[in-house]
Amino acid sequence: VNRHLTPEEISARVAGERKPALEGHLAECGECQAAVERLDRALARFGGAVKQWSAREFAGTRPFQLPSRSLTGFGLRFAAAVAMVVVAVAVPVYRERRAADLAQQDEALLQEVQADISRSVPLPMETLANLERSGK
Amino acid sequence: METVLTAEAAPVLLDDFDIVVRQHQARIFRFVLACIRDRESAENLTQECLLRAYRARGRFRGEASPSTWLMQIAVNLVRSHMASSRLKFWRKAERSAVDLSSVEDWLADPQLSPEAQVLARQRVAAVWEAAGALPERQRTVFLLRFVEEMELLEIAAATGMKEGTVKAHLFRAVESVRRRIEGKR
Repeated sequence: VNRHLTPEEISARVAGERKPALEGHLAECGECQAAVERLDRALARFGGAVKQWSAREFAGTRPFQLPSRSLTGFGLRFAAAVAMVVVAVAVPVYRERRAADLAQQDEALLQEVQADISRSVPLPMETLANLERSGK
Repeated sequence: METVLTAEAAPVLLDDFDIVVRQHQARIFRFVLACIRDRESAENLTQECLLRAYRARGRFRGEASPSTWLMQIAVNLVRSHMASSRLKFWRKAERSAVDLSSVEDWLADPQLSPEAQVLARQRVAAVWEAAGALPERQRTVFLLRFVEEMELLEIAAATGMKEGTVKAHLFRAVESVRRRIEGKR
């Protein structure tokens, strides 16, 4: 190539394009070499500035911590399964016990009622009946 | 320097996830921060990236390096973040965007004369502005190439693009940046 590189060809070169004809011209033309180096350098300085700035910002970030096993993934699924089993077992047991308690209470009540019904003298009259019996 | 792993060795290393975190967290954070320019979101996305990698580590087969694999997750997270909260992102960016000076101030080159320092800072600022105005895929490719110094094939693997597509985006990005540096719009 006997002409200077166009601005677009300089951008393409910096972006990584390599064409033998352009490379031949670049090897001989200081002006085009300088244009490529100028853009190269600006981008390299940009990269360096971003790295240094980011390193400062990174220094204040919180460290990465793996999530607690009990709260995620397998742990969470395992905990949920255990909870379901506990509920599945506990609810019928609770209901059974509750039913037994109620039955016991009912039985006690029935016995009390039965005792009251079977009295020969009503409860309020019992003291008087006792006095009468002792007077004989 | 990153160790490129063989397919057999990679899962062994990923088993020790603390090493993965130590080697790659800062780099992931840098890429995400340069893309979205919001420190808080960058920190959250970096954590999310590492968490996803941790959960998927069993599926890592070593076809790409761990670095490229992690960058692939980061690229997807940034893409989703930008797409899902575009309006919110730009509103927040107006309030809390990284100050341009905070980047160009980190241009440390004691070899330069004061005049050259000023010029170099202006150029870094111009590149920063131009990069921020690039379309999403051009910006991603540009940052992976010129900040993360990844090769075209690595960028293709990280972004899911073909190498030719990466080249095309990179050329467009560099051309936009060159025009901005030279003051052309």
